[in-house]
Amino acid sequence: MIDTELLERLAGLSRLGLSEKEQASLRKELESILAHFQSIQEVDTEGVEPLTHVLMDSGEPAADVVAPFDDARARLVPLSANHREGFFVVPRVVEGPQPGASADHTTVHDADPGDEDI
Amino acid sequence: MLSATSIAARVRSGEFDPQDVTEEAIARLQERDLEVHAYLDPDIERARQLADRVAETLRRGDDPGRLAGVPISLKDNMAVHGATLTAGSKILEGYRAPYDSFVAQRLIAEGAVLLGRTNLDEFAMGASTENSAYGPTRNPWDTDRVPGGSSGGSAAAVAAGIVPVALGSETGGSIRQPAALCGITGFKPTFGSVSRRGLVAFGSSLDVIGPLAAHAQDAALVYDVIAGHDPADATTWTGTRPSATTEKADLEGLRIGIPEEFLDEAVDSRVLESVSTAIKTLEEGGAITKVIPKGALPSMHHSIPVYYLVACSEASSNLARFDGMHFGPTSESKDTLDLLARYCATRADLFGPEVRRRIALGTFALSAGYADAWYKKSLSVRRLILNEFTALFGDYDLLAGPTSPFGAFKIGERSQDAYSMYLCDLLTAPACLAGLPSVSVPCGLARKGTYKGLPVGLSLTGPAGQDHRVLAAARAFEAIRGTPERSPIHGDDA
Repeated sequence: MIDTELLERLAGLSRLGLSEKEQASLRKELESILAHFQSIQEVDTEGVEPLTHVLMDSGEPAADVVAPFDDARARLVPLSANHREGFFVVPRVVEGPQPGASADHTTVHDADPGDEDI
Repeated sequence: MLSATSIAARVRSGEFDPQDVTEEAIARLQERDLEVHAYLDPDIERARQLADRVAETLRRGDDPGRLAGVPISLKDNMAVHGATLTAGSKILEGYRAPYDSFVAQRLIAEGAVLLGRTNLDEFAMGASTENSAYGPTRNPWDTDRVPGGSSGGSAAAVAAGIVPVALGSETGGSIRQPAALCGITGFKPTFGSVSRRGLVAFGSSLDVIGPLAAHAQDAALVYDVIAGHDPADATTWTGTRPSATTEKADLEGLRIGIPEEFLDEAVDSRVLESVSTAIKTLEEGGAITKVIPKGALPSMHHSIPVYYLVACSEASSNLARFDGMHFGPTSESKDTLDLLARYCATRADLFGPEVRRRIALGTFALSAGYADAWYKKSLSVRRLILNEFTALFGDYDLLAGPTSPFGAFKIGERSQDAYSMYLCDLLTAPACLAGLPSVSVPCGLARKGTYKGLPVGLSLTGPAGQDHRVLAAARAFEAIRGTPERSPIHGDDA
């Protein structure tokens, strides 16, 4: 049921970084699980509306109002395990000169959505 | 240990000092958690600060609230401001929550003393707490056995007598199943009774937060505190929830059905024996019980596939946010400028095998060419399951049966075969799919066989929105049966 091509597609969609060895074991596991799940295919669901949720009432959508989150930099950045000078430190993912004297393979991202990126 | 209800009353009256109560709980945690590993972070400083706050409120002559000075632990998938929030995963190691979850806010507002966050299967995916990236929790009844899962840390903390009550979350059985295996009460509210703001999402159409407690009365008290509409969680239903604490605990005249589908051949015979005794206890209390012949819940047979297809599909979408950039650490195994390769490396290195398996299964069920045959098909069968329950509640007030097909199994016994672990949800997944309120109450110890001397749970399930009646029945059952047996670690301490 699950061939190599499908597994590669699933690996790409799920961003799981599956090695070839893992793909082989996952293929076996999924096939075994789906064999157990096959029974639902025998259920007559002709005309049955799929049930996506079981809400008690109509589920009035929340008002689309911006909720302020003040002092985002002061409140969020210090919670991060890796921060410097009021910025999150994340791996470098763009080409370019190293910022400042930092020799490690990192760059900093601004925490405050209101400011310009640096 | 004393019940939460009793602790709160004595703290409010001035008989107990909240700081003393907290120090005693901390001492129990430090001693007993060495054996059970229920906690990922005891967060003792926060407990002391909250106890100080309650003491200060009392000094001012104000009322600290309905949970004054009660030590309560949270499963580590609920946000507590400034505290770590791992969800049992390496992918969130070191992550700290920027705000309080709705449930944490409610508990603190009523004077509760949050004491630590408890272990769980990674992202609440599992039935034994063996899938935690931080090592398994052990059952206080027998430390070679699992406490159940995924809220196994919360269940073990209560069963070990460290705290009188803890919060868990349930998607397919994760509150009730560990409650049953640890000999305590666990309540899964109606879907949408309790806000999930600040809960790490797993299956959004199923996830519910609820209490695990040594006494049914405490489960009712904590439910009353955390239930309610939250404008920030659009899935919480509007309107008031009747109090589960003040609802009359009376079984007289209650029509309780026992569907034969709940007495599946997969259920251990000694578990069935304990449940049969429990049903006689319900009758002694005045309930009218009746075994409903097979055929009333024909689609329940498909609950395991339907549950796993729905939950994993939703999980594959919910867990897409964990890429090593937005939350938590980034894998250092790939030194590359390719962002996609970094995402993949992080998810490969920091998600555990069960989480990866479920993401893959969900991705499959939602993928083009397969979604109709698997995802949509499972949603249609889900509606049939709901319809069958709805029809039964025309004739019965509650449905009863065993919570888990078996007692606490040995660590490692089921972890090698994914499907064998999935079967733990056989009797709990149906109520989750239908969104129904359901409680597991301890109903004695298995007398013989594989699970001899280990706790068995009786499940009581009601119609949507009848949370207060389900909990009142649990209170009535406990009142007749007496205080549940205590684990050896808990001992007889007051």
